[in-house]
Amino acid sequence: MLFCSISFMVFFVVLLCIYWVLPWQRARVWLLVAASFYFYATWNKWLAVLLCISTFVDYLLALGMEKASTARKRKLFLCMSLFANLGLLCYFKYTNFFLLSLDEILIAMGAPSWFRSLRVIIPIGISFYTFEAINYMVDVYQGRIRAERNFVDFLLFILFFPHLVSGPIVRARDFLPQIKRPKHCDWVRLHLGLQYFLMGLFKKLAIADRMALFADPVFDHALDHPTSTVWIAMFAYAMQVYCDFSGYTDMAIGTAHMLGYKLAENFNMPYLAANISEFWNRWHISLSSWLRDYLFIPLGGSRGSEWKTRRNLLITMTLCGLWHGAAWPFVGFGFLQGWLLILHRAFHRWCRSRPRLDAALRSQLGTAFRIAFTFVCFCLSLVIFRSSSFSSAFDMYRRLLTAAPTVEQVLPDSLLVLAPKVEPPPVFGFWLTAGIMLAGHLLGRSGIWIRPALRLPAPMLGFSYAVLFGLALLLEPQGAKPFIYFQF
Amino acid sequence: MPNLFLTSASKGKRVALWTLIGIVASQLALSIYLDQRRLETRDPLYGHRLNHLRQRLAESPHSPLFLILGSSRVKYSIRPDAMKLQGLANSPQPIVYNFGINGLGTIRALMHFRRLLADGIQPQWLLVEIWPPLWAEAGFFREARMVQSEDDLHWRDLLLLCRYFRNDRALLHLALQKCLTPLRSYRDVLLALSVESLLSPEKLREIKQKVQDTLPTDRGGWFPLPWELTTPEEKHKAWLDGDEKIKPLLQPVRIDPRSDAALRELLSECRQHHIKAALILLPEPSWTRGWYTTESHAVVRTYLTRLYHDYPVPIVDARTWVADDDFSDSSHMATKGVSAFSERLGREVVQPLIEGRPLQPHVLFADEERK
Repeated sequence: MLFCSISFMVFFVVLLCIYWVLPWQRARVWLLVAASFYFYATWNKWLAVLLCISTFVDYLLALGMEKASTARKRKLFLCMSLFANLGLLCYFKYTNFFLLSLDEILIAMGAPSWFRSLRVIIPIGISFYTFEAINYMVDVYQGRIRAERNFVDFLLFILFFPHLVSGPIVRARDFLPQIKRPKHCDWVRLHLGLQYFLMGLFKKLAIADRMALFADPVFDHALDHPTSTVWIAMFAYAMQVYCDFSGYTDMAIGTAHMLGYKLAENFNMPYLAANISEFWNRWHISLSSWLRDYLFIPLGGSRGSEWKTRRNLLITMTLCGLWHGAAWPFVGFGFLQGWLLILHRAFHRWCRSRPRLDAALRSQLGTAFRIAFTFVCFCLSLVIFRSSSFSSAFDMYRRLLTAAPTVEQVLPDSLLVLAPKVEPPPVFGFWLTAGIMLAGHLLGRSGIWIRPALRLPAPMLGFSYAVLFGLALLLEPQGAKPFIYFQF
Repeated sequence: MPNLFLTSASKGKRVALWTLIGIVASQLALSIYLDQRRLETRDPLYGHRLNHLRQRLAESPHSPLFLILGSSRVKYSIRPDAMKLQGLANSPQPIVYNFGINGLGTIRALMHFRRLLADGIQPQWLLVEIWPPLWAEAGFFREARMVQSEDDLHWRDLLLLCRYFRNDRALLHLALQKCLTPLRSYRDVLLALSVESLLSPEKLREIKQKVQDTLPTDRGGWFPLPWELTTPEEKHKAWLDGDEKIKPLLQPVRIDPRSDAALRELLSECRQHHIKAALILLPEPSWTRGWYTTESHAVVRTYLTRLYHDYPVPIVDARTWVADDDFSDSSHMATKGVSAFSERLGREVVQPLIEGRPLQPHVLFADEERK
């Protein structure tokens, strides 16, 4: 059940009505647990049961950890939990990746094929809820929070459907207290949630899915397209992945608001970041901060020598890449991000000793240049992220950087009939959609639209929301595509 | 971070309410607009046909209408312009119009008949094709499948669909979705009308092709068969296709209660609206006729005899009127045979019906049993 599907909207409206009609807070919690279970079970009911079981194990281990009398026992409980959570994640998500990689190495060494891939269904959102469970266990271990006594509340923390499948990755210390807090139907929050939801819906349907029309055919067969089309496809994918994920997050935050819960922001206009370090503070914030708190800092963070900091950055970002997906291009993407961060640190140091250059880069023009440079660097690195293999990424780079002839120009017409290519739509649609996105960013950053919007009478405001909803439906191409981050 | 804003609770409540009203009203308004004003946009298959028929009627407003309703077999086999009809004394020449629609069985015939009546088309005569493979409501010709693949459903179809396909949740869900969210269901067509450069070239080509395929080129609504099979290999392939899709539905012939009910409802409504109805079994090649077993023949005979007993309308049996050479496949006539068949149909069936004369016994089905 996708957030942008009609079935979800019906499900949510019915749930929202029942939720606020119920007079008891506990009944609402139970209702949300049941609704979240149903939401997940629409994909696979057995995996929903498995999720509940693993949550129950974490619940018991956290209670055991808190009651443990010695530090050693506490550590043992933590290790058991990490083993269970990461074990499930590795089994479902990475087993085939490791087996096939090992097999490829053996074949390269001249040995016969040894391993076969397992038939495993990857539970949707496993990377997200595993990280949520880990942050809860680590926080309990470090004494930042107390272990949750009520299993239903803990189950809701993991299962809460707005963040279940694609985040934002919520922290137990932020979310669990919200469950206990009494709630009343607040129209201010409902209105805010509606704004979030509609904005997310528009981003997903009208921008992300539309941009996919320009990106998908080109990434699938880069060498069939001219250089200009490939550049457009690369920028289109950058916009697609951002609007797809931030659109999902906005819808998640919106639905949570309407139910009286607050989820953390996950994006802060990342494409307006002036350097790669700032970019990662604005992009997928809940993951970046999780990695910082539970991986980068435990590794030593930036407290040690510069060499150690670089090592920690590289490890953190490579694992960040691997978190995204069980394939080498994701690992390569993470590794590249690590290097970009290292280079940025070095450049930043270098600039500090050159005040005139530093001042020039901090001027308005310099900032615009830095934003554009960061954006292009990230887009270029996304080519690896989007490609199915390094060789197809290499094809994309080759086509991006050289104006080589296309297949059409090389092959005779008779052969082209055998392999008809999927054409992207006219480029006008790309510029229009990119223009809408840019305007949205600029308006959002300046905030100049808020005062006139506040002055609008309620019917006009409501009507403008309806228009936004209608435009999202109208501009959505051929049925909603699944969210990109669902696969992670 | 999205730059959103907060309002007072009372304004928030009113805004949420107006949003809901705006969404529901805009979808409803669009749905009604498409139904009433841009039917050919919403449902090109039916809309273009209707517009064409309306144009024909507007050319001679006082002419009575003789409508022929049926499947693609009607669509490609009956050419009204080839019928050499003679007008009645002191009355304008009737307009004979072929309203054949792909895969039209009895339920969809009833649906289209009601649509036509609702759209102000009042025929004086109605000739409805009946074809045993369509009665089973199973296999390739299952109407629930046809409704999904061929028709774009209108509000007014919903009640009928609910009655006839009440167990087919997917179909009802689709029908409701198409009616309730037209902006989403018809977005490609709407974009093709407004900003076609937002569509992919394949999609645009597909939409234009669909329009092209549904625009009648013949005054009488006849369409030339788009696939003329000439080589023995092509014909053999077509035979195999019929063997797979048609033969199982004839051995034995099964009559789904819904199919029977729809046909009876159609005949009752004709009676109610004083429309002179007739049924017709269209020509079949000898190999298709050979697929009927003795038991199948008995089922068809018993069913039609019973039907005639309840609704005494003429049942024309034209199954043997066309030679095998004039067929393109197991059910469709080749274009070369159309004119001769249409002429004979006009002479022996349409003309007598228009004149109110009884049909000759040899054109009627199982005439001897009725006696």
